[in-house]
Amino acid sequence: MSESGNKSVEQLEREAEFLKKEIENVDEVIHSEEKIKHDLEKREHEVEEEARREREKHDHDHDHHVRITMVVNGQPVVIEAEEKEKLAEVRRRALHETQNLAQPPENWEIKDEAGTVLDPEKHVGEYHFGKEVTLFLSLKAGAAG
Amino acid sequence: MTVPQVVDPAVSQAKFDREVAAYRELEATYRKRGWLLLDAKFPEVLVAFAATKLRPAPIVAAVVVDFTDYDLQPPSVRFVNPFTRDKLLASNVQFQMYRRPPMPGVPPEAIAVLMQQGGIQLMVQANRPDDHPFLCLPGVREYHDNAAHTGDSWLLHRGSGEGSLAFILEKIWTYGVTPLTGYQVQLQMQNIALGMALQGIPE
Repeated sequence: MSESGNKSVEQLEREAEFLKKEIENVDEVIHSEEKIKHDLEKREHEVEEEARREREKHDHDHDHHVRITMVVNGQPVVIEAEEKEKLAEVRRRALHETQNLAQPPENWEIKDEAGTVLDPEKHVGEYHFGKEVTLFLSLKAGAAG
Repeated sequence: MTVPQVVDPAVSQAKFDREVAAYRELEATYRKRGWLLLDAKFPEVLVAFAATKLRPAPIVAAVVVDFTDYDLQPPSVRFVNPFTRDKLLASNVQFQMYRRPPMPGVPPEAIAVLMQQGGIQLMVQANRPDDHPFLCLPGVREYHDNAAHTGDSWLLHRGSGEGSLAFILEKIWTYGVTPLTGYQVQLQMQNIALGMALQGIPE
């Protein structure tokens, strides 16, 4: 004889219905927990990806520093510049460090060793200097003759 | 004419030494440009300029930069014979410093026309062919002493960067030496004879 031998058909059907609803509730909980797990896994992946990008960015910035010996009117000064920096900014820093402030920065031409004039609006990286380079800040000649 | 020193010589000498020391620090770089510092003894520096783009590379100019009274006065610049150090007369200087107005992208033909029309500025000037030529540039004593520039006192430029040894040498190199890229040879034929092969003479 079964355990439910004393219960009526209606009671058994209500119990079955109740258990069915309980099972559905458990399924919902399981589904919800799985969704939470999925979201957490997704977030974990995003955080890991962000950490990787930050690490690469840091390494990239570190590797792309250029040591520029800027000769300001014959006086050398070393500027640690980043490749993404404009030459105009490097010029401003070099003039500030050597206290050559009597003339506006635009009056100083940036030249390489061969005397070629470089564009101050270009970024350091665009000239592919390598790790180290010597540049010259040459004051433009005044009105002559 | 030698101008007597007015400034305390120790002051001018200290500033002279500073200029020469800064040059010495970068001497290897400057030598690559063709700058040859031949002598530096207060108050004068003798520098020769070779045109390194030419083969063979000639010495195209030499200057004595005189720091007497520096920097109450700017340095004096004189063109000299690099071997004897004698000052050159304008008629003997085969060197000029050219400066054109800013015209980005202008073709060489237009520059040639500009030159013919006198639109190119000559920075080496002389009053007469038998006079000593001078560098007519702010930061150089001969410019500020010139009657045409009495309104442009050196004291307005002093401390601005003009008048330093590096500034003066760089301007001579930029405007006088770097434009030189080749030799120009002119031949004038007086007599033209016909050539023949000796074996070609008939028996």
